[in-house]
Amino acid sequence: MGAYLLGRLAGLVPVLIGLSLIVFLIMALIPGDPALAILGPYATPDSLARVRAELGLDRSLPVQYAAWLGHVLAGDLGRSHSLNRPVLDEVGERFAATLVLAGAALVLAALIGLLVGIVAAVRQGGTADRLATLAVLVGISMPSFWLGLLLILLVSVRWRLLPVSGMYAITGGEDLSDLLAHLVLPAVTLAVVAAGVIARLTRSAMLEVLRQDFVRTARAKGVPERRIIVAHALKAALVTVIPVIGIQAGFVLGGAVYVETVFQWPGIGRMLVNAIATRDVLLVQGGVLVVATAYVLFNLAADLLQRLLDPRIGA
Amino acid sequence: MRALAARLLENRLAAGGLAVMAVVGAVALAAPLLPLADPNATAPAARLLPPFTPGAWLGTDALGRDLLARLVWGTRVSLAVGLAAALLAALVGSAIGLAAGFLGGRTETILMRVIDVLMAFPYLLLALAVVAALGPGLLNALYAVVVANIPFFARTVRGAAAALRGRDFVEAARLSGMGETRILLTEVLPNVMPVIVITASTTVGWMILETAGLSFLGLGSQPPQADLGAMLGEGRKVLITAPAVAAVPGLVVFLIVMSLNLIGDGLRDALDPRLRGGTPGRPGAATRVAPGLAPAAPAEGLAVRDLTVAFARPEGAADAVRGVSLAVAPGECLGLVGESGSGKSVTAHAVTRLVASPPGLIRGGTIAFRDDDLLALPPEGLRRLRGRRIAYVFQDPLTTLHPLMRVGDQVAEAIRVHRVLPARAARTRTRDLFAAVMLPEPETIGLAYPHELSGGQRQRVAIAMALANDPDLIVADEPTTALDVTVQAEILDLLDRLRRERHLAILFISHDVGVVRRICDRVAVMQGGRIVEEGETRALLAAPRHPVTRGLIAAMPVLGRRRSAEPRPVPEARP
Amino acid sequence: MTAVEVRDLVKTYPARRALFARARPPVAALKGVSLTVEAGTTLGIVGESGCGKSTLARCLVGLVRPTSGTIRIEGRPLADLAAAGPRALGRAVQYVFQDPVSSLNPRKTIRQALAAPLRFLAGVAPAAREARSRELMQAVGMEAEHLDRFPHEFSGGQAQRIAIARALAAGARVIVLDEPVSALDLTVQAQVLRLLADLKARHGLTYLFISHDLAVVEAVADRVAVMSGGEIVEEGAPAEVFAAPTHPYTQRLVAAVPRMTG
Repeated sequence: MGAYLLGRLAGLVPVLIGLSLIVFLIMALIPGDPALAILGPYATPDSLARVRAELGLDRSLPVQYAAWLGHVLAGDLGRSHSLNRPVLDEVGERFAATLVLAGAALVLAALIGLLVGIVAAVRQGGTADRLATLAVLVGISMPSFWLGLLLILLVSVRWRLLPVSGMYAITGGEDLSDLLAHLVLPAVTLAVVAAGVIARLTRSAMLEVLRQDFVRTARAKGVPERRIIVAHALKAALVTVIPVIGIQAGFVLGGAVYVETVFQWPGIGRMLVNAIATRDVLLVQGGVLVVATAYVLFNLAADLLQRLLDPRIGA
Repeated sequence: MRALAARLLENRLAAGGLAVMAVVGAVALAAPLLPLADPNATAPAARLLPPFTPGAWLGTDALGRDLLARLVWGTRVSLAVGLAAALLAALVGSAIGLAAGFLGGRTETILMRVIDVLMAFPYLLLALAVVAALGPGLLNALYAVVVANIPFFARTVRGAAAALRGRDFVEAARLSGMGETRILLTEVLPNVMPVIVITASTTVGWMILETAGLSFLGLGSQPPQADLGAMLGEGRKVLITAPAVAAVPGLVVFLIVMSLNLIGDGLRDALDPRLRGGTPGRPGAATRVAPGLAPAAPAEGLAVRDLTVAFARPEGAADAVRGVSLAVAPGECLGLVGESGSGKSVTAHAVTRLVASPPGLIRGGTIAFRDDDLLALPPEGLRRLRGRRIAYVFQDPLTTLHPLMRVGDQVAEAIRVHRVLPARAARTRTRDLFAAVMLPEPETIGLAYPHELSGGQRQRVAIAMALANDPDLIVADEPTTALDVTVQAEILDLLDRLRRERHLAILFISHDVGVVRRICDRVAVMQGGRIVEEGETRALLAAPRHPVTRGLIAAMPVLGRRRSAEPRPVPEARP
Repeated sequence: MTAVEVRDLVKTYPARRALFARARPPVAALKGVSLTVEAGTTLGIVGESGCGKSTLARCLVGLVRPTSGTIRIEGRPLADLAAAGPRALGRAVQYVFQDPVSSLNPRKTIRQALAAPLRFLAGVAPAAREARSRELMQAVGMEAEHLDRFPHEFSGGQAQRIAIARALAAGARVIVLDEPVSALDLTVQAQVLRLLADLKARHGLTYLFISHDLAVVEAVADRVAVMSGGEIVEEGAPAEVFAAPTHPYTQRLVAAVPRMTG
């Protein structure tokens, strides 16, 4: 396990380098002059030149990349011109809010998805399976930005059960019930698609496993049916389901962009959309880099969990 | 191709999806011809008209533009962009995947490293980054969605192509003198094509969704042009006062995506029946038994009478076992031989109703074990009998042991599902069993996983598991077929010794007359679901009466006796 | 005349060196194998899984490149044949796979499968291919109507006949048979073995027949080589080797085979 962990960590290095390179290149290759975008059309040539030098735009790309990477590794993501504060501070605050939302959504999606998938597989062909299949179909086809609007209309506007939107302080807010009240609708909206995907995959993985020879062996030695499903089949099915939960984390993090916009959630997705609109290059760079790195680390965790379950991997 | 279309239409859900898409597609295509209002003509006086207003059936938006006209034109844009994105992503991604998968080596490493890096971005984030670089706009949103989807195609297609790379038929093509490019295009690509089509058809819905999403965020189509996503974004601003403005375009997106998903699933099922999520029903815990069978009379050991087992097939039920009767007395070893498809394994599995059901069904006969009528036992009674009084050893222990459980735990489980026993005692007993089957290091080998053992060791574990509760009868289904001959000899000796020491009865299934001769007291020969001959092993094999038996013996490769140049033809087994 | 000559053939799969993942020491699949096969005879090669017999077979047709040593097919070095392109090699030596169904492309008809060696190796003109395909099918005891079917429509024995027809199509006189009957039922095995014997007699073929099944090898081989751990431990006429094995491994192997007498 130790060697495996080291190997996986070493494997992360090229991925992270590639990732930073792409983030850097995308922003470096933006057509037009970032300095002009920052200062606006009335900038003096002097101030333009100063900002360009500040951003290092007068140097060659590899040098720019090295300098940028050096700053990033030192924790300096630059200063957002539209917000006039360090990118790292803004990204940190916003990312915390997104983590709360995406984390809640992913846990919800995994729980619902696994449960629905298992029940559907065990009751294959029955009413529960048909209902689950229908729910999965609706779930995976649901545009979350639309679902969010519908939920606001129904739950908040018509039934007045939960606040519409306007969650502003995630960090430092003491009122947990207020946070939860604001969290329910966005988290549910964000969880729907992922839950559908996980449920569908769990069902097919369970059905596949239940047809394997070792399930027949378990029956032949007299293992009770309930134990066969939980201890034998689910254990084997999880090996296929866990990587998919890892991938769904990416979809949830991405989908958070829509949900944050719909529910005015002060997360990193909304920040990115605004930053793109105001052409705040450093803010976009910093945001994308942080979220992608977090996702890579999450997938590493999913890999390790899978490896714990399946001793055949990496042996 | 026609068969594919027929299969697709047979699937009612896919056909429904196809119908919806046909209507939506036709309306979108015909948009310029339809009597619609100008989608971009503003009319401040007629703003936010409710649906069903004459002249504006879906009402108007905040600028007084006709919603129906905008919806039709918006659908047209969304469909065009989504489909274009799907095609581009499929083309580029598949080309990368095919090259990486087929060429392998350094090309593969480099290409897949790049794909890995792209996959390291959460899906939508990569699209956002691309839009950030290129600037908002419909075409840029399209590129963004393409870039975000290329990794999926590349990965999936690479997997399929790499699996083909080492396949025998690709090497056979190489040995037939074909060049690498020709092999790629005529041997590999046609076999990868279904994967590409399936991936494209299952992701096109999401690509439409994502382009609409980018427009919803204001990063896709720019005013005055509006796709469905941009309409939703505009509608959101008047959500409370005029919910229809946002609800209707969203509903259309939802319908399109759902229809495309249905078609995609249908296409996948039609193209690759193996991926279909469950037509052959989940096998239950016990083979179903046709109602109204006669009760079984108690027997001394195992007594099977007139057993008939059928399999439900799409083309109708077929009997795999047709009226088999056999008996295994306590301490006796009965061999059941026959070629594949003769029904010998089905007979063996039917004893404790382990035949997968559906499709299996016991149509007739009786099975008695001592005082128990196995066809009448309730599930719990059957469970208590399995592994405790009748145990099984199957062929190929790599697939028959749980791959993720330590072998010691698997044996201990066999004990503990039948009696209350502390974990420590179960471990001790497991260790004794491992010693009895002569596994090396019985103290620690229980910690191993099946893949860490050799084939012979795994089969010893399986035998230890079968012995766990001192059963009266062991059903051994081709227990040595997957093993090398020297290992086979050791396992046969072990079984023979255990049976004599523990007074076990064995029902031994094999295709190999020589193996049966080595261990069985009596032998029954099966063909086409029937027992054609039965008797004391050596006598029967020395003077076989039935042509099937003679054929099996003649075909048996036997050392020291050159096979006769003209073996007796064996009557073809009925399928 | 010598059809196949192998000298000191060594194949070592290199060590897998990895910075963090588990390293693997080099694996010696063949440790200096030498053998000769006279034209028109069958050399049987027996051994259990992992003894190197499949690596040897794949070296002989150029699917695996040996680490050192030489192979000559009908006097010509295999390295030269391989360097001259797939055509020269394919015309000198052909290969029959263990699993006949997987050795045929599931999406090509039998006609298309046979067309490749006829076109690329034998250089048969398009007009003559049809007649030649029919001839080949007949030679392996199949009907000409089967040419338009797909591999999955055949039983294992039929598919193996087709695979043999494909090997014949190239016109090679040396054929490497890698466990050609192991995947087949016993009675079907006998039929395929008889077909192989007929073809050998009719076309003067040379076989390298690889199998784990001593009795099968005894039935078809003129000489037999027993492999263990990447080496040939014993070689001779089958009757002698199996009746009075001298090497301890062969003795163990022979003792393990089920018998019909005694």
